[in-house]
Amino acid sequence: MDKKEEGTVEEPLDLIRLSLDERIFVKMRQDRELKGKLHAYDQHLNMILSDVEETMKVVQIDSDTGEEFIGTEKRNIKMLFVRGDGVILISPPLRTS
Amino acid sequence: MLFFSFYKTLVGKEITVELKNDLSITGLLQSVDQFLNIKLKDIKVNEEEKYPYMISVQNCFIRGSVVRYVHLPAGDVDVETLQDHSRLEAREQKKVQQQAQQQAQQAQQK
Amino acid sequence: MAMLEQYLKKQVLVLTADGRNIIGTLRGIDQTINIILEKCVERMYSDEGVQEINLGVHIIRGDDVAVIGEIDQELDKNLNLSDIIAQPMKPIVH
Repeated sequence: MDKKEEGTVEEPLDLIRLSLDERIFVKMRQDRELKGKLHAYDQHLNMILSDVEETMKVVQIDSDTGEEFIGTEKRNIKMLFVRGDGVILISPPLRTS
Repeated sequence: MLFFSFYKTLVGKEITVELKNDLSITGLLQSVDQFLNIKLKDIKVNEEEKYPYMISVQNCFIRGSVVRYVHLPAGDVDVETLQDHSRLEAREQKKVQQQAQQQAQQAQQK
Repeated sequence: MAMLEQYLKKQVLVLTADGRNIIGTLRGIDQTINIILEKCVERMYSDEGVQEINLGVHIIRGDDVAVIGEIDQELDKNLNLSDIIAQPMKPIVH
């Protein structure tokens, strides 16, 4: 019973369980993206990630031409709680290597 | 339940709550409830000159649903325990689901 | 609601989901965070300092409440509202 529970993927949340203690990619609302190591989650997709890199798309203005363009802003956060209602998708780590 | 219990272990610690309107409030966690509503004391809004709305406020209540992120004190977070609890809760959740399915099937057969 | 009881009968600042700042005396609360505010004043932020508008009694729906803060009377008295220059608060975007 336990073996089956730990190994198989029957529903989406199983895939997230198998990503615990691994680095995952999270796409958030408002053009935000997170990469970090997953330590906790629940059925609402609330999560705790560590060593997080957040990438955010922002509208910037070119100082020479005055034209608007889409740039990215990055920041690093050691330990972060993410509220699940802002999550669009979660991508588990690549297991190709 | 997992995150409610987790936040209770952080009472008295300093956290930064980032809201869905870009306001970031740093303060000591005073209490939390099952909806992850949060009460903070001795607060300071980050970039206060830009966001001066709470200058005369020291204690506040934040509705859980307006929270985007919470920046946590890494040293006070036990990741091993969190991972164990996440697995446990996933298992509990599945049991509840299966029971509900069985009951629905039985009800149909009748 | 137990968590908000300590703010009852006190002057509070309510930040609403649509970005408004309302100050008033907290008269009532319920489970869904619906609140009754008495002697309401809205503080409007702009490039020309803060403007205050009297609103009387307000009942604010829980879904529209973002933050409730207890006003420290001493700190608030020392504010010079006409000197505070800031953009209006952004609305909550879910």
